[in-house]
Amino acid sequence: MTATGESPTTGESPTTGESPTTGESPATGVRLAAQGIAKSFGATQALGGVDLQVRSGEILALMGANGAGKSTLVNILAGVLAPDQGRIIVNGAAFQPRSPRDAVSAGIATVHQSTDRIGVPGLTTADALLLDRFASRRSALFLSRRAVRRQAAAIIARAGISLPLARDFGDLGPADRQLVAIARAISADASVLILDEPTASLSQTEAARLFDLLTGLKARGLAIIYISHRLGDLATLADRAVVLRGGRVVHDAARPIDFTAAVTAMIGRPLAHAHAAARDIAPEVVFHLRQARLGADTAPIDLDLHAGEVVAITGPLGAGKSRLLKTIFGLHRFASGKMELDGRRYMPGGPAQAIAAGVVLAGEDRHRTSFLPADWPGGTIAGTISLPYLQRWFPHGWLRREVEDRAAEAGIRRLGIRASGPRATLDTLSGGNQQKVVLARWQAEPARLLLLDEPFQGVDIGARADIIAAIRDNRLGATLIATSDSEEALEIADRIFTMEHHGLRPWAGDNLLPTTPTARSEVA
Amino acid sequence: MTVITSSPTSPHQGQRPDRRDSTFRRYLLQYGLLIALLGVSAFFAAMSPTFLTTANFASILVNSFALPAIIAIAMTLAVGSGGIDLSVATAVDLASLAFVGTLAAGWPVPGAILAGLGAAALTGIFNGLLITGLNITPFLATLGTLFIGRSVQQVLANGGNPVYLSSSKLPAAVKFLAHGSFLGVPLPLYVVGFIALVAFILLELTIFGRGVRAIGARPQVAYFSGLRVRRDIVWIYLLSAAISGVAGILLSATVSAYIPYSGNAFLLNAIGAAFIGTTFGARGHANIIGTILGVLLLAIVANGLLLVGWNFYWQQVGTGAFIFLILAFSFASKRRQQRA
Repeated sequence: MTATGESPTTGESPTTGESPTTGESPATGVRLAAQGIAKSFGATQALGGVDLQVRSGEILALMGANGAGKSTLVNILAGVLAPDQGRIIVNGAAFQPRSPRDAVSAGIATVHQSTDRIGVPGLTTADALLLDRFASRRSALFLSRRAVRRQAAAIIARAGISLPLARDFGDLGPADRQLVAIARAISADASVLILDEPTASLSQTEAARLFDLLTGLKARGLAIIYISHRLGDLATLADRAVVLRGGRVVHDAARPIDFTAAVTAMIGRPLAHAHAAARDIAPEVVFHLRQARLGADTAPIDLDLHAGEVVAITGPLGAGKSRLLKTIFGLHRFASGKMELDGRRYMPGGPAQAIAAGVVLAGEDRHRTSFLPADWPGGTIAGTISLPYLQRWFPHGWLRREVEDRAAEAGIRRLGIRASGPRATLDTLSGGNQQKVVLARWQAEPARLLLLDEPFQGVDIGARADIIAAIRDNRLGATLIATSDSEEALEIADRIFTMEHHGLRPWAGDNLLPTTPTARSEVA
Repeated sequence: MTVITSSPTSPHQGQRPDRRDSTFRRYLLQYGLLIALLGVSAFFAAMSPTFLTTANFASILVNSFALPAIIAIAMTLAVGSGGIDLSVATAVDLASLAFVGTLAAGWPVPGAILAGLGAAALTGIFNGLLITGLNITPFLATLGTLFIGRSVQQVLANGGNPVYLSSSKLPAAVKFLAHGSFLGVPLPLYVVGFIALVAFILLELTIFGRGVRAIGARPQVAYFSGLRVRRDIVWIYLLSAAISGVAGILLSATVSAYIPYSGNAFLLNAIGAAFIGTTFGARGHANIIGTILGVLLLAIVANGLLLVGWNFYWQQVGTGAFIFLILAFSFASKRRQQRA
């Protein structure tokens, strides 16, 4: 983690009283103040009277476990949801957005966790950066490609990042999409920037780029609300931490922030220090990769995976981690080399054959690889778990709800999924619980090889421990995990490899790994 | 802190969701199509004394509901899988041509029916292969088939001439198929009921239907989950064409003839009904019950406008306006529901 080594720019503690006059200076004052925000969905109270303040030049860490109310609060501030009660002041004026657009014009820029809706395949990156302007009524009807490129270049120059402007947005990786989202959000003269899990899909180098950008924005006087499950990020960036639990603020601390106390407040109990313990691995080789090349001129890969073993592959985005997993899953072909599963030649023509052979993949973006829309048949926990096994579980073709429900209930119990039942739709689950559903799906039948691509994306610490336990519990098959976060790899794997330029080598420590105790607690 | 209290804020009064209100709205949203159907019927019943008669309803069901419903069900399968089938019209025509042509050549009725279904199925397989093999979008693939179907009819039917069955050649079974009734209910309505039931079961109760819905929602998720996406797509277009073929056979049995390009008349109606049907239920995807209600609504609007004396040429304006109204209402309520 790159420590910025910067002291908080605000001189006084943010919790001290403000001058009683309303005409405060916008340069140093409270940018956003929320008071008594409450919101219920049906019988469920998501927020029960939340007070929150964020000041100019301050980075506020908003922490909270699964379902603590973070997303609801962000959605209210972003104008997506209307609160049931409470009031919000932005830059000294009452803030009652009727749409996300209202929130943007009031100066609140929000970058949501899912960057899917930032752009559309078929548009260039430059187009995606300018989408808001295109949508504006003041936009010219025709813009030359040069003008678009020039304006987009100005936006990213202002943000201090570089992006492939001519590239199709659909080809951008999650990291670049994230940068597009942020650059675009702040291009609209924002005074408050809300970031929801911005580093979830970023490698350390890219996260460092993002932190530089945020430090710069903070120096310019932006108020930043930063939501993340990565304590390392928060330790680097945050001036103050507010912890939500059960829809209420339970902890509010300024720098120096004691993250151990914050995490204890967040999950309601102290966190035991856990590290992937060394253990004996059976000699039985489940999966065998020999001289496999991802590209015609890349280094050959050799890999043996044993029964019950968890192997992690780290490395920056674009190193070929996802590609390797997808190729083993039959979505691509190796340029050369061979695969063996349980000693037999294995050459899947597609996911269907891979799954039939017992090789399963939980893809990087669970919404795009595992989930159906929540309002669709099959958009429930039960439907998600049964989808790959329809043929196997219902050989006569008739769906039987009770069979699906039983499998889902078993998964809910085993992984501790917090849901109203097997027919709960996926949108009612928090990120951590959603990821548990994905895992429950691929553990519903014993798999020989479980491939997990970034399994901790948008998963909080509480759920993370359950997921790690479930993954390490699998003693029959082998597990191969791709993660850009070497701490995650340390936490879960028996062996770790690093991938670079589509080649694999044993991991030999990493100078990017944090050594400070604060940052270290992320591993806990 | 003082800033907050001294600022002229008011709570979000207008936006506070009232529980009862939102439940009511949800029902309205879910069953809006049914309510529209009843509302329209009540309106026409008040405007015209003939509307609410058995004779009128029998006429609606037999003349403007049965065939459109069958074709709309075919369309629903394609729409449910995330595609569309513009060549239902082609399947209707080719089935009709094969059925009438083979009857005229002296084939027995069951053989002629099989010939009709087979001809229709060919268009479906052709569509399926275009879509899965050449990766052409369903819209363009079936549009191409629609054009090709026109030429095929011209080539096979002497430049696109009707083929009439003389009443001496018309088997009794065919007459019964079109005009017979059982327990007082016309036979075509049994056919509609049977096809609707089979399609409903297929979509809602089988793994095939679940897979098709998955493909319709997120093809990549379906593929990553190991579903045989291509095979299911071919089946969907095959079924869609075969069901349209049934409509083609019924149509020729009714008019004792093959009339070129007569399938086109049903195309827009079927698309309209299938998409109106997506507003039925909470979920917003194509479903059989919604489609049936959609066909009924379109039939009743057309019939009612005629009865109240609306100029026949303006009828389609009424139909179009209703489609707009229902879709606008449905989407507006859905947006509001998402915000509340």
